[in-house]
Amino acid sequence: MAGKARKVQRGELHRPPGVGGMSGVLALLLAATAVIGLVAVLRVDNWGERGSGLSERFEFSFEELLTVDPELVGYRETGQVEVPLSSVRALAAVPGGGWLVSGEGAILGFDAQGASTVRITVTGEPTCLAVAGEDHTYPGRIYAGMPSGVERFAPGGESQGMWTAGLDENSRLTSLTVFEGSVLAADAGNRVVLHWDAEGQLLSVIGRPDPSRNIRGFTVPSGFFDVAMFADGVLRVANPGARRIEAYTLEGDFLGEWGEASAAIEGFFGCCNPSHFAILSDGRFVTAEKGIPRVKIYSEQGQLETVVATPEQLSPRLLASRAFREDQTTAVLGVAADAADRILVLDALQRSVRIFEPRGGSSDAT
Amino acid sequence: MVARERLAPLRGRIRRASALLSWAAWGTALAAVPARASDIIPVPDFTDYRVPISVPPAVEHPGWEWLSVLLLALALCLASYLALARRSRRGVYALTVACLLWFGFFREGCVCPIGAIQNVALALGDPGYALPASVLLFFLLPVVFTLFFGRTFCAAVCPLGAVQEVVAVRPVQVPRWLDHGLGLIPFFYLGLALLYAATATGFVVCRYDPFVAIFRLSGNFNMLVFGAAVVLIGVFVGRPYCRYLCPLGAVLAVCSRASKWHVRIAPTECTRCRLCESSCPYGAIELPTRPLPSRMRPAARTRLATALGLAPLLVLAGVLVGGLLALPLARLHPEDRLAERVLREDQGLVEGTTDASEAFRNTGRPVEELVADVLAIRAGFRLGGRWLGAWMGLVVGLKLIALTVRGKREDYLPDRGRCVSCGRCYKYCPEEQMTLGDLREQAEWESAETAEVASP
Amino acid sequence: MPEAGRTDRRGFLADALRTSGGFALVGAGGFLVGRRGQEELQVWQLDPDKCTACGNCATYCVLDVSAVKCVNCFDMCGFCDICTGYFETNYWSLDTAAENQLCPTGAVIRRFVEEQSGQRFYEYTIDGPLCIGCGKCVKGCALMNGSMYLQVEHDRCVNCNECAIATACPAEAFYRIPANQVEIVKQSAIGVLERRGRQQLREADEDPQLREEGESLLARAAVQRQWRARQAGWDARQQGEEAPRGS
Ligand code: SF4
Ligand code: SF4
Ligand code: SF4
Ligand code: SF4
Repeated sequence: MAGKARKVQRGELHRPPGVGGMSGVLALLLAATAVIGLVAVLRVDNWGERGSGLSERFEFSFEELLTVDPELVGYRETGQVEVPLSSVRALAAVPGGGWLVSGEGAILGFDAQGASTVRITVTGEPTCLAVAGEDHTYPGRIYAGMPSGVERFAPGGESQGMWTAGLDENSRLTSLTVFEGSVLAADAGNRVVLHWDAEGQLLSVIGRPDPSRNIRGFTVPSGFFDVAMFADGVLRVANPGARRIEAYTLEGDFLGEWGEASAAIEGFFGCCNPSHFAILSDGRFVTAEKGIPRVKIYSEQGQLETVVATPEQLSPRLLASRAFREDQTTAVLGVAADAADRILVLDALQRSVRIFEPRGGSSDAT
Repeated sequence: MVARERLAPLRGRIRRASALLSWAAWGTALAAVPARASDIIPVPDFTDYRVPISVPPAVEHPGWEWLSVLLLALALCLASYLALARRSRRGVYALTVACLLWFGFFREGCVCPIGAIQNVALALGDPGYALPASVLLFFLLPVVFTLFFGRTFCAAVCPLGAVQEVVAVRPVQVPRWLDHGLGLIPFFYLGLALLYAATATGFVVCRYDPFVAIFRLSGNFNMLVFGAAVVLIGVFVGRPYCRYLCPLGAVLAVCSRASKWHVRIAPTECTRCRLCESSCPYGAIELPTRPLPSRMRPAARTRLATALGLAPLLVLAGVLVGGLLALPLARLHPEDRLAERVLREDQGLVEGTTDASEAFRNTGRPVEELVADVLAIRAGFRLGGRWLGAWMGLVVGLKLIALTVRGKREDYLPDRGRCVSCGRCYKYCPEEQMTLGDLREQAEWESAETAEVASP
Repeated sequence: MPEAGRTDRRGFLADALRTSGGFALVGAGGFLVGRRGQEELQVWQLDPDKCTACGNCATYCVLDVSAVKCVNCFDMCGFCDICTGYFETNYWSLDTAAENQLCPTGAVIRRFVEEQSGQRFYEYTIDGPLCIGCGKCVKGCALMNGSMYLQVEHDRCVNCNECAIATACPAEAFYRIPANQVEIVKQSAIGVLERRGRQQLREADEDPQLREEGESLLARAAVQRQWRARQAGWDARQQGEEAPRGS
């Protein structure tokens, strides 16, 4: 019928073509096209399960930085004490043994065996802690950096008031340290170290740029800025933006510096490291880094001596995951050396204090 | 039932998984490490450098949405006028091209009335979703117009229909059995799309839209292949997407059956000259019916009775089958896939990880929580699947009834459901030519008629 | 038009049915729209706090060059000399040589700002047209300050009814947001925006432009806070009700 209709059309300019029947060949072709279309649809990867398909150059790979030569690792983990808080923030060693940890709403004390000692309830989250030793005016006193100032606590936990001298709205206290009659705090917001006496009287501000005294100032790109006093009466300050540790007198005179920027294990990684450090009783330095979380020990002169904890130990997800997040790269929120020179690491991801001791040493921790 | 049997081991697995989860410790820990604003300290004081502020580019086209709604309404009015009052195929065609250019190539497809069904369904199913008024109008306008004028939206306004309209240059007839069979797909697709939209799984109609990649001249390669295939088929089979896939087409077909006015082939009276019989590329023209010879009536009545009796059974069967389909249906939900993957990883059934499973581990969300979520989603799909099954049973049942009922038709009329009001058939009708007053043509048509009648 | 066979009564009934059907539809729709008290256009945006910079944003967008691009929130940036979002992690020297650059398309631009007491500061800007949204620099930056993050740029995005990346995003980071919200900043950036806004207002004095900038920053931050709060509320409610989760 189709053919006949078409024959009529040929003579008829005004008759538009009608709709003919479907021939077998056409039907086959159409079916084939339909199958091709269907296959194409089924091949669409709607869920991104085949990955982005970007070439290798788009891959962010830093695996080689995450693995550390085991020969270099001179410490091993001997214990881990969980912190029963919803978040952890700061760590300080107690001179006589044990440690303090702060988190949202509380400061918790632990003895050297990891048993709980005190619990101090606070409002907000203390961002840094220090405990006075026997040399201090008030032995055993606890200092806590709060968002609004420095709060003092008796060894038993009773608050003794707060001071705010030298602080302004930009201030962000990231570290506290105590020495004889002095209390010192790192103020990351203003990029200076504040020096008070034990009553909260501001004595000096250390680290304001001053070319005449050869003081260049601190570079603090992110909220990590650590200070520590050593028994020699010299203040050590981490200058993270310069990847250095610098030494100052309590009067604020620059004494010296060490440290080198490098992604390799010998140096400090990225833009702002070391994020934290502590000083062992013999004057060696324990440093912690963010970005590539690692804890290392340097000699007094700044030579790498050994690795305490590797990125694999501190943030296993970093190695496991192509999809890491910022919080995994800031696994360490504090390091401290306790009375026995064990190294305490405040692990943000596991919310615990992890204890490291030299390989071959005694292991008496919990 | 299969669904329950498959869920039971999943629950068991959850319990086991939660026991041996090496990630559990990580999970709770990570969740509690928010990024702290206080970790970010002010930038250094620069002497003569102002720290720039990144300002995101504004959304460019909020006013355009309303322009589009306005144009949609205007185009619908115009299409209805051209198709029904002016009976101008040429006008309809011109409007088709204009709408193709504007709604298709210029607006690049989104949001279209077909997709808008899903937005409405999502608004019903997800309290978190706010339905924009413009999107609602995109859905409502065509429906309301169809209730009054038939599918004039499909005739000239829909950009998807327009692509197919312009490429339909060598249409052939699709065998009736195939046409009716494939014609059920849009109803199924509609049900599926509503289910997936209401469960916040996704907008499958948008995902598998064959033409949007063509409008944008970019997109996923496979979708371009699919689009090309549909266009190619569309050269020979009129409007394959409209007839065999489009879920809005299904909605509009139903509305159109109840429309107040509708396109007629003959402008005045149909003389049953049969000239229009094969003029519709979409197979929408119904022939006049002859009364059944009385000896066939009892058989017809039995058929009808069977169809009527079958319909509720089909609905019931649909409910049963739909319940069984819950799990496969839920597979399209990203969280379902994720939970499956995560559990399999935990049990060591699969090697390695996927981006999704890693991202999940990184959030620190406990696996138990994900699994509980997925069980809720599956429960939703069990319910939705039953509705879907019932709907399909109903559609098939009604189709069977419709096939057995012989309406009383004296004229050549377009089937109101399938006719897209494109007006291609007008000029085949000699009455139309008469009305237009072209008697010379009329004479030619008559001779053509004789020629055709001579060859039955 | 002809409905010849029907009696008037049937015609009337049908009309009534149609009209009331139409009204019912419009009414139901109006209810749906009004229920949320928020009926404006919605657009897609990704939550940078959820994003894992997987790379899918670069390739799954329906556009040839993705609508997703990197932004640097300068007030979160350290202006560091060694930017881990700019340099390869195993950089050899800290210059702009291509082999040291992390960005495969060279879209991160490093510009010297100034030297302060021996420390050199640099600005890192994203060259929009070059960036393809692969997220490599975002991963790099996440090691340090995390000031770089991805966002859908709405002058490019064609606002698909279903964003192809949203479906493919392994982190389920995509959301529909009200068009006038435009962005989702990192949670940690909200406070930073506020701080900058207040600072601008303090410094504004006479300068109307500074004031305007400051005010718009505060407004942006307020919108972000609101969105986060609402999101948190919904998440909690959905978990409580075990309702299907929506994005
Ligand atoms: S059937 Fe669907 S695709 Fe075809 S014209 Fe109508 S709405 Fe558009
Ligand atoms: S797809 Fe998702 S996770 Fe991947 S880069 Fe885009 S937003 Fe980030
Ligand atoms: S690394 Fe990727 S996301 Fe970053 S600027 Fe380059 S192209 Fe854009
Ligand atoms: S909505 Fe469309 S254009 Fe926009 S980012 Fe998603 S896929 Fe790209």
